[in-house]
Amino acid sequence: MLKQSIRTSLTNNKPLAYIIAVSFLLFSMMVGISIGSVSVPFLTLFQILGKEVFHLPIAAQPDTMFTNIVMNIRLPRVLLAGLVGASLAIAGAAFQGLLRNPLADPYTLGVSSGASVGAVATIFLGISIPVLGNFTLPILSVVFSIITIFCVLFFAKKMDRSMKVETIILTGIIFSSFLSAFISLMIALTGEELRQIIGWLMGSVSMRGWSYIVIILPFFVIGSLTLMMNTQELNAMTFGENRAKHLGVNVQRRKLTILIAGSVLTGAAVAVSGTIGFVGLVIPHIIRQIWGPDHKHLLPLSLLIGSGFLILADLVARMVISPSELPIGVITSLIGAPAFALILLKRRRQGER
Amino acid sequence: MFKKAKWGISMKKLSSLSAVLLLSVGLMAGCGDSSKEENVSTSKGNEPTATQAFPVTIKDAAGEEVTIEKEPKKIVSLIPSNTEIVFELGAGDNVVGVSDNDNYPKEVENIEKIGGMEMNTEKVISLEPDLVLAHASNAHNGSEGIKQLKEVGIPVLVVNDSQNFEQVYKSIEMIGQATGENEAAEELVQDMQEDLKEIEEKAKAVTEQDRKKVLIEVSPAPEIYSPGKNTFMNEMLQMIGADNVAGDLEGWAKIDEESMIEANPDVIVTTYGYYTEDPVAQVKSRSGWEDVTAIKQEQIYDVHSDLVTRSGPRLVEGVEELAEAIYPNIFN
Repeated sequence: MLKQSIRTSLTNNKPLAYIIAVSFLLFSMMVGISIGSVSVPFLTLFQILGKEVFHLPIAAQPDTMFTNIVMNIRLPRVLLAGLVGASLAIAGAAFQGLLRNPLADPYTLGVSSGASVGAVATIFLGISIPVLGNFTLPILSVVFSIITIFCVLFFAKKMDRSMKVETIILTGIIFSSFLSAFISLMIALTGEELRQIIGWLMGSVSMRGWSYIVIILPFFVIGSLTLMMNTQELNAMTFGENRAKHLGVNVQRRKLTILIAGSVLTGAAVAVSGTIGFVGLVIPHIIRQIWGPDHKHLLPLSLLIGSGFLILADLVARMVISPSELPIGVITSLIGAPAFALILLKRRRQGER
Repeated sequence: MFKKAKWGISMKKLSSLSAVLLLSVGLMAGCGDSSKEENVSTSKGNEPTATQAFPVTIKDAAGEEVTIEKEPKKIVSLIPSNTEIVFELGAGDNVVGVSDNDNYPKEVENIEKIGGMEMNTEKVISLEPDLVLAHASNAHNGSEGIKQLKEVGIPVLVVNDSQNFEQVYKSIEMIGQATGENEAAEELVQDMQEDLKEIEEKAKAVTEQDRKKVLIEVSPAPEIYSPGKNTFMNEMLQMIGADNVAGDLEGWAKIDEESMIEANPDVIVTTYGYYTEDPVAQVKSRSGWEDVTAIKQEQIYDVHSDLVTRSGPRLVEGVEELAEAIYPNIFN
């Protein structure tokens, strides 16, 4: 009995939730930066971080190889994984709330398929835009995802003026299937690029660098802030659109805003890291199980935990068969599914008491 | 009155049931018999005598005893390495069908294409070949197609897959036997062995301190794969007297960035230049790699993939190109 009340007070205590979430994120970051196939001694690590990140006056000169590895390979990788995990988790939470469907994830609306078509086409056709050079792929990917968002919304509106959520989901499925067919077509016709294409589709945050962080950062900031400004409305819409309207929510406008913000987050995340599954679907569920469905807390907590989760998943992906790497999407599902099952079981057992 | 009460089946149903059974048994017997007949006819061939090259029975890589009655005048090759070997042996004029991926020698441009990863069985049959050269590496993919070809009576020889030079020599000899070019095959193998011996001799001039660490990349970032044990390129590097960064890993290994930087290769060799723009510049521009020896000293070279991965006669050229890139002072 004592256990029960401790649990309840823990989950009701919201500030504690944030402390736990932020500590989890910081822990993941520290672990992610410290561990890698090249073992960097702790002292060197602190020296490097202190010098380069915090600009502390440290006399020691760490080895250039270590500095290169930590600053140019590990740190951007960890940050990118964090940003992508955060984007997918918060977008997933928002979509689940908006579409009132627990199976919704950021890829439901077909945005990821659009981004994938952009990326795969770049590899398949060997497109390289002079100004963009090496960044042709993520930028084309983002462009395609934005075009997809607008096509989906436009089509949904044409089908149903009030844009009921069922319509939006159906439109998403239509576009998703259509665009996936293009990807399959390119895979069938490809010769040399097959490995690159499959590798990209399985998702990865390796060999991206700081420039990719620059690409995703603006979308992340704008998207997350927009979503977090709409948490009250999301709560209202959980009860159905009519009720929400009666509560004073401008349903049409808010729906569009949330859809676009979530899609932009997803598109950017997919453009820089490929299609990493599972994060957007399950992290919000886990948060909801532990800390309740209030979107005011669900969204930020999803962001923090999703971020930490993907950093840890990336760590496992690159350490398990070091120096070889596994695709990160495999790890997210391998770890995430049992973890989710455990949480559901625990909750279920608790509820029966 | 009838057996209806006893068996519970009416006479009508019984007769239709037995008609269906008879029909199916008859069909199966018919199909079974035809394949049996074929086996009987092909095994009637004689064993090759000392002076006569044909007919010849070869045990191919799939363990099948393949009999070729007479010197093949219409050969279909299912994989580029087979084609290159056939042309090198001087039987190129007899090639009537090649795969979509064939690109050497120039003559293949005018030869009928019979498909890429999946062969177009109908096309192959329409060319009426008297020998089809398949390959162990894609035999399991095309096993259905190969079965169909055999059923029509076309001899299909599955050439062995090669992970090292010894196996390449074996495949050259097998194709030589099949095309009746035994002497040419022996000569080719001898030439290759001599050329490689020459390279190994020259490589003895590489001292311990001069030994270079080489990183070979067979696909561009971010999916960089490097050839490890049991690949041609690993063997080639050993012949030249260089150390392979991926030498401890099996097959085609994906190495993560940190390990590659830690290994600090002296030379980076890429093989994807033929479908990627300016691979050398791409490698040079990687952030975090500035202090790697190969980048600092601008020792980044691109070698054509076909020369170092296609298990054919041009492998020797591949070794020479690698040797020139890595130790330009010793090999040129």
